[in-house]
Amino acid sequence: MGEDDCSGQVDGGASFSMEHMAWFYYLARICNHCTYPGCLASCPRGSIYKRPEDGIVLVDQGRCRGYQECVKGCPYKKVFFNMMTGTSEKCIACYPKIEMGIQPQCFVNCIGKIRLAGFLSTPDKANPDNPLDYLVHIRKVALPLFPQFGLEPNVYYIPPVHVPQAFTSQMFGPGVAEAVKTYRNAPNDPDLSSLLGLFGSTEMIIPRWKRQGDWVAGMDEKGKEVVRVPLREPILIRPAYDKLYQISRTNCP
Amino acid sequence: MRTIARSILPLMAIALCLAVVSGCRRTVATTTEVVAVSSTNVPSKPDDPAWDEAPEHAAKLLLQDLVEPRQMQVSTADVRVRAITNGAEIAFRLEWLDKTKDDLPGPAHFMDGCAVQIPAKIEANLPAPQMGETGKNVEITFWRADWQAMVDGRPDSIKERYPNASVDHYPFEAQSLEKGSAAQTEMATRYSPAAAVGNRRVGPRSNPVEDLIAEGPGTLSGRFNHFQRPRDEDCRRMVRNHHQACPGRACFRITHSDRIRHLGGLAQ
Repeated sequence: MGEDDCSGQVDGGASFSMEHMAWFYYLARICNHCTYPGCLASCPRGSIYKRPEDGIVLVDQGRCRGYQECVKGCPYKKVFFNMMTGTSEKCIACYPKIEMGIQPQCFVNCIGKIRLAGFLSTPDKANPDNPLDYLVHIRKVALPLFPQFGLEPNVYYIPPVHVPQAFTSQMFGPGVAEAVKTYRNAPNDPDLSSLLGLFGSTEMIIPRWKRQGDWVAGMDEKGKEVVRVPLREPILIRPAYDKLYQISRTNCP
Repeated sequence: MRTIARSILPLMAIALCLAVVSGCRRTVATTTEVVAVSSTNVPSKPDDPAWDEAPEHAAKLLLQDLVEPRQMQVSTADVRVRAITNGAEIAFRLEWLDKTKDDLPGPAHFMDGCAVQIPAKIEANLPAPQMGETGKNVEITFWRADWQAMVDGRPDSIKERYPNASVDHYPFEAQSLEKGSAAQTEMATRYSPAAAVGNRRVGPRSNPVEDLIAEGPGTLSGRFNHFQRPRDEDCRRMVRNHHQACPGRACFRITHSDRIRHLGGLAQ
């Protein structure tokens, strides 16, 4: 059964007689481009490097000899052995796009508009005008995945709100309860909700942001506006039956 | 004539006894180090009868306990080595016991392989046996079973590795792209960055060995150009390598041959 299928009534409800009730969530996992990459440390040949200019972790495809130590060494399992090339490969964070100031493709393609890519400051230099600093360091609503591995992963997640926190706290650390509370309160929090509205609003990396009333702007490094979106998208309620064309507009009549 | 015949008979009897005692394996002279015998015929195949004339050295394999990932248990205790030289070339035959034939690469699956490592210079203080050391290069001829399988005719394709694989579409296999055309090649390398930069991990291969140099663990690189495939004329070591699974026994025999450049002392 697909996630969007019309299933009708499920007899007995969606329940398990197991450890916990049925629940699920999506966890889009790309390479975390860790500050202390396990893959890099495990390569006997020094074929993996972290770029100083943007922190992207890459496997040198000319130097790799396919020992697969990085496949073992990455606790997030984000390096894969390509047996047709005989080398290990991984996410490159679409570095040619990053170099052009554009967000990686999986961020741009996300139809849910739930991703935002940019550069994070160190905690001591957190800048509230930087959207990622605001989410990660200031509001602490986005958390690292399995921080206990100690690699300082650089992908941060707003934890799923419907999952038992005994579970999510293992994944995202002790800040989960506070992060969920903050996120749930977003409708009453114009700054946070407006910033979330900037997600998926532009292909460009927006290192600065600013809310102005009911609008929020994403800006470049110099403060030049790149994109502007309303705090609340206008809602259009469409009747299920279109009288003009005499057709039903919903998938599930 | 009679005298000669009498003297041969006891020798033949002894030889027959040895043949019975040792079964199908001929008794061979063993040495405490690899000794190359001189011969005008430098064999290129592991089952060449010429190898019977060469003494055998059971080389105990060392642990790689120097750098991570350390190998603290040997998977193969020793390799039996024979060597034959004609003064200009030298061939080594390596033979070891192996219960499985591993010539298909895969995740966490590694192939049978072996290498002959020779100091780049013969000098009093030889380089460390674990891939040499800084300033003391070693030259390495590396053979791998999957490369041999490719050279022997196995196609370099996903189907060979995963017979039941189903692939919807690869852009570089689009019908609109003429196979082998510049456009198709460009598209294919786009999806294979290792191939695009000339990494010799990428098949298909015309030679089952690699010619390498190293000056310590982690420094292994192509002898001629790290980033490019070697030209044929550069592959002086690569032309006469061959391996064979011994019938009835689980072992491999590999012949490495090399033109002698510095090995005058070793090959005597």
